[in-house]
Amino acid sequence: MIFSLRQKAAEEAQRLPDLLLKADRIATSILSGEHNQRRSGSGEKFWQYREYDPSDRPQDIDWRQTAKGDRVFIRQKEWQTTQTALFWCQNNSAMDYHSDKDLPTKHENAVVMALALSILATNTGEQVAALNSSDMPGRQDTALEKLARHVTAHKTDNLPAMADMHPAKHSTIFLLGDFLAPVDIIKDRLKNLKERTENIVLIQILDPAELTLPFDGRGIFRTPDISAAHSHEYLIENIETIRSAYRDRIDGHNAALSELCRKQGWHYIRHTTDIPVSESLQSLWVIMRSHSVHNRAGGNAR
Amino acid sequence: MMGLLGNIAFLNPWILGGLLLLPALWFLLRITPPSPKLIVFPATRFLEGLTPERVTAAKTPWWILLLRILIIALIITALAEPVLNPVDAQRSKKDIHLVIDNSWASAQTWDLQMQEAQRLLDIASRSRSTVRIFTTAPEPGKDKPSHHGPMTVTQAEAVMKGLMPLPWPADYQALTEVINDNAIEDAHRIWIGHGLREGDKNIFRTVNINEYVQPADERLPLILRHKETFDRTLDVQVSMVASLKKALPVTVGVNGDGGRILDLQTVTLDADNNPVPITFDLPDHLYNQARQIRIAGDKGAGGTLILDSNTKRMDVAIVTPSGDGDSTPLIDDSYYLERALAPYSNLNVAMLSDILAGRDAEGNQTENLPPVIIMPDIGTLPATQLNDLEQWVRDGGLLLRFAGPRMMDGQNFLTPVPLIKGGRALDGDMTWENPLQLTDIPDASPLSGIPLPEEGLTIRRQLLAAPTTGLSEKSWANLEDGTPLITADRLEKGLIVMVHTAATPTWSDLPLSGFFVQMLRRVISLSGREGNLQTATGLLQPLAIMDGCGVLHQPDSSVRPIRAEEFNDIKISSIHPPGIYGTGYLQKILNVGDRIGTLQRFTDIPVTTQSRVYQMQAETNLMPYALLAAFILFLIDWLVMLAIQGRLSLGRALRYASRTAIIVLLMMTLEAHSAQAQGKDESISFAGSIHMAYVKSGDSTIDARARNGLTELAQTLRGRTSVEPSGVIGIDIETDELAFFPMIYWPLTSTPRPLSAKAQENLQYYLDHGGTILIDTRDRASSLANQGGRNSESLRIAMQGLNIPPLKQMPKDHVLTKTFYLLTDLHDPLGNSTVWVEEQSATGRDGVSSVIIDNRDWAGIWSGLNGTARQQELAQRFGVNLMLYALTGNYKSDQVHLPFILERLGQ
Repeated sequence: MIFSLRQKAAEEAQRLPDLLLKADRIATSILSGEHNQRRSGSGEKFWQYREYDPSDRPQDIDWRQTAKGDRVFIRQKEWQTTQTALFWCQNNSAMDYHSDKDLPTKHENAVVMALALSILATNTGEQVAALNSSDMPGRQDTALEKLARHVTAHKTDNLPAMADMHPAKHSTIFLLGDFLAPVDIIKDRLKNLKERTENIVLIQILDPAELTLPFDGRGIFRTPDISAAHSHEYLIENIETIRSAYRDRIDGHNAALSELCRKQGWHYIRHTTDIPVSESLQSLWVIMRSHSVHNRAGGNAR
Repeated sequence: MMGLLGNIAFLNPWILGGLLLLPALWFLLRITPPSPKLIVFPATRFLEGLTPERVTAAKTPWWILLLRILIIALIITALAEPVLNPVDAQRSKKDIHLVIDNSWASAQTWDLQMQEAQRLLDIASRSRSTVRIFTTAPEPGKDKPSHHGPMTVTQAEAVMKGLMPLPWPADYQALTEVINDNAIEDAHRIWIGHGLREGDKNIFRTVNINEYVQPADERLPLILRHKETFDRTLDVQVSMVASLKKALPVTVGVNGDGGRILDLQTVTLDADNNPVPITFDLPDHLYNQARQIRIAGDKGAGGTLILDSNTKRMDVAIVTPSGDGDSTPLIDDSYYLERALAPYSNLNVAMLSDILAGRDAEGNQTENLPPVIIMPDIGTLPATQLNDLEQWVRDGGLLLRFAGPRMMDGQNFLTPVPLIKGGRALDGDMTWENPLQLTDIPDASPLSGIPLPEEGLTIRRQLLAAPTTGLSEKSWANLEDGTPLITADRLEKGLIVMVHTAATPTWSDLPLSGFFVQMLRRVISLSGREGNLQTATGLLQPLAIMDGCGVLHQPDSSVRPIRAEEFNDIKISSIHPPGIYGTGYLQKILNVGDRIGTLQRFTDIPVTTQSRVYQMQAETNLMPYALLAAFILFLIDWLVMLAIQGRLSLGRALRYASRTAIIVLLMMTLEAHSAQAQGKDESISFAGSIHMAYVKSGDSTIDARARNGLTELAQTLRGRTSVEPSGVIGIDIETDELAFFPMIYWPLTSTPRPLSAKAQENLQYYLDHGGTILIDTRDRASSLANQGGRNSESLRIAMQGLNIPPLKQMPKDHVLTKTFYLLTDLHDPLGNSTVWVEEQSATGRDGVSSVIIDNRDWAGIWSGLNGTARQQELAQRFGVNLMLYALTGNYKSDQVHLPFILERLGQ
């Protein structure tokens, strides 16, 4: 038993570099072209010269530049902020599903996406950590690696646990999972988070089969985790005849989820495993930049 | 087709009762529905309460049932062992006695006989009868045919495998005795014959034969006989006992040493042309190499004639005093000699000085000094010429001298015996004596056996030998009063023969007699032979004997020598098999065709004997086919089930089905059709780069060996030369385009397979247009020096009908030894080169041989399976040379390029 657990952990660990690399590639493709905040701030890097204003501190005057002309310049450095991005990845048997062996599992996609996001975040100077771990948030590769190890190895329920609902204030929280639980339960569970921060991004990851039900004939449907309390098993004789009813249901669920997020002011995005992670990430990134996190988080230097 | 169903029988019909169970099976299958599949699905929650509109039939559809019932029915049928064309088995418990003809003619029908015997044994095994096997011809060295049994069928099969066709006739007398002595019990007796009668025509009645099986008319044995003519061609005739309704083509070939084919002719036997004469008119250099004439194919001893060494055409020089080459008809000595010898030898009539200088009468240089010089009536000679002549004799020449007026002064230089001065005239006006007859040829004389003319041979004048000790041993023929007429003596390696009378009719009737011709031929044939001229006993020892398949072997102890004087009357038998008999100087040939009388068939077969002809159609066991059909249906059923359970969409199902069908079809037809697909794309790639090719033999181990060997060689070529072969291809001569391959490696198997007409055409075209073939008989282990190995018959069969120039053993300076590596020891440790190439003079391809034959199993050596490391390296080098030879031809031997080669060497 122990052996098998250890072996599993080792296997997971072997997958890590691969996942990190994938995530890194995706992040790079998104970052190319835009790296900096292009805003003056408290960073180490030079940003611009600006004419001295009496409200500025005298020690900020750049004397060399001032000596070139009549006006007095101060040297502004780039604005940098240290925000915290926290990640939660659903990791249970439901996430290990893929309808076709050519498709990645939902969990794999979730991890890649979380890691890509965390790389993007560290690149913009933010600190990352897993929501449900005790690790300190960090900006270095070690923090990334810790996060990666956590999201691959740590098993979760189908929603974040109540105990994890105490993140640092104003941190950005990324929740990745299939969110197939009833919408009321989701709302209930995430209620606590809302008190801590408004920056919540809900990323729903689904297998295409879960949207379309592409089966035929006679079959017994069973939830992946047979021991769980909420497991189900149904014998369906003619699957193709219930397909449209099923689609209506799943679409209704997704619409309700989306509506919930809109009301709460959370970002919501749906990703299916048959499209590249980078594509979903790109659109997510666009949304996030348009509602720039930093604006609300107290951009003091505009 | 009508009787197709009628021809099926079941060997285990009681199993068919199982078919009764099928209705029960129908019922059982019908109540078990296919099981649902399990789908693990995270979003299962959403399926709650959804009800499908209609329900899949929980029962199996009727057509699946039918399919399954069919599968079971097929399996039951297969277990009952259906047989197509069953042998009409007399299922009596009677014992079976097989009488198998195994005399000389059976070699030609052996396959049919063995097939029939096997069929009969199959029947016997089903009825569990006891078997006896009798043969008709005596075993080697014995005087009675062998008999085996009583025994079981398994033992009988083993015995049958040990039977071989024998080269002598059957002995019905002995057979009757053997059968009557050993087989008293009542039995079903079947005579498996070759179609000829070799003795008492009442044999069927005396030994009580119930069934006689013989070949159809066109498969009756052929016999090849000499046809005596007096010109310089080889004449034979082929005959068959039957009057043929259809024309039967027969190919007859002249073979040289090692089974090399010198000439082939195909004639047609039909009702009007039987026997058919065949005349081979060979060029001189080939004529002398002829050793055998044989009917192509497996025709055994009856289809093989060993050629007498007397047929060898010798170079003979006749000395004339004048040297103008034209002899005066009827008067000159050389005139009679020329007339006698012209059909049998290559004559050169010239002055002695020219002959000894190696020139003919016109002054053209001849290749060698002749082995035989005839000097009619030459007396004194210049001392230098005498010395030269003596040296020539000491080196092994044969000098034949005739007496004459010019020799009457008591010559004793270069004569076998000293001569007395002056002649002895027996018919002069002043003599007391009457002309004497030549009567006495001693037994030990090489001339013994030559018939003397009935009207006598009158000698009117002669030279007398001086009476010396040992004169009687030296004389080969004596007159009636005991005076020697022909004397002979050795001089070191050479031989001097003296005829004590003239070569013109003035002194005797000798030049006008048939004895003259035969005597000359006999004497000339002694040329080049060493050893004692006298034999003490006059016994001809067996030198090589022929087996039933027409192959010469070393004789064993069962073969008895033959007395020379009895030779002409001897019959071929188990103690005197056909072959070559002789002593040191004399060789005689015992051929089947020359010693067997008229061929006869069984004409009036008694009513108690049922006569029939071999059937080509063997019974076929249908069990594997039925099982295969069941298996295919089972696969179909499996696919259908997959489709029904929804694991496959219809499209996928079809794809799987087609794949499976393709695999099954491939498995079934792999052997036959593997070489069929040589597409256009392949052709383009073959044309684009060099590929090495081997001929697929159909034997997978040999093919794999050839492939490995060539791959290895290709590797070497890439590594060492600028030839970069890009692949190794197995080809089928019949269907594939050969033009792309510079060299084709052809390993032969021991099972001969004649080429089809298409394949011959293809191959001939390839050879005529610059292709090179390396034929590997792979039988080095089994081949003796100069004797074909175990696969030589395959080679002969494979080469039949191909127009290939004469071959010779590869000379040491052949281009093949220098195209890339300078190879000196392609020859094996015994010094025998086994590589055969075309004679340069014979090809129209600028001296480049299109066919190279060897027996060394090159592929085995190339792939490192055989040989020492050194031999493998040499083999690789030979392979490199061979490939370059195929690519560049005689470039390296062509002097035209010499300046460029020298230039490149920096000279």
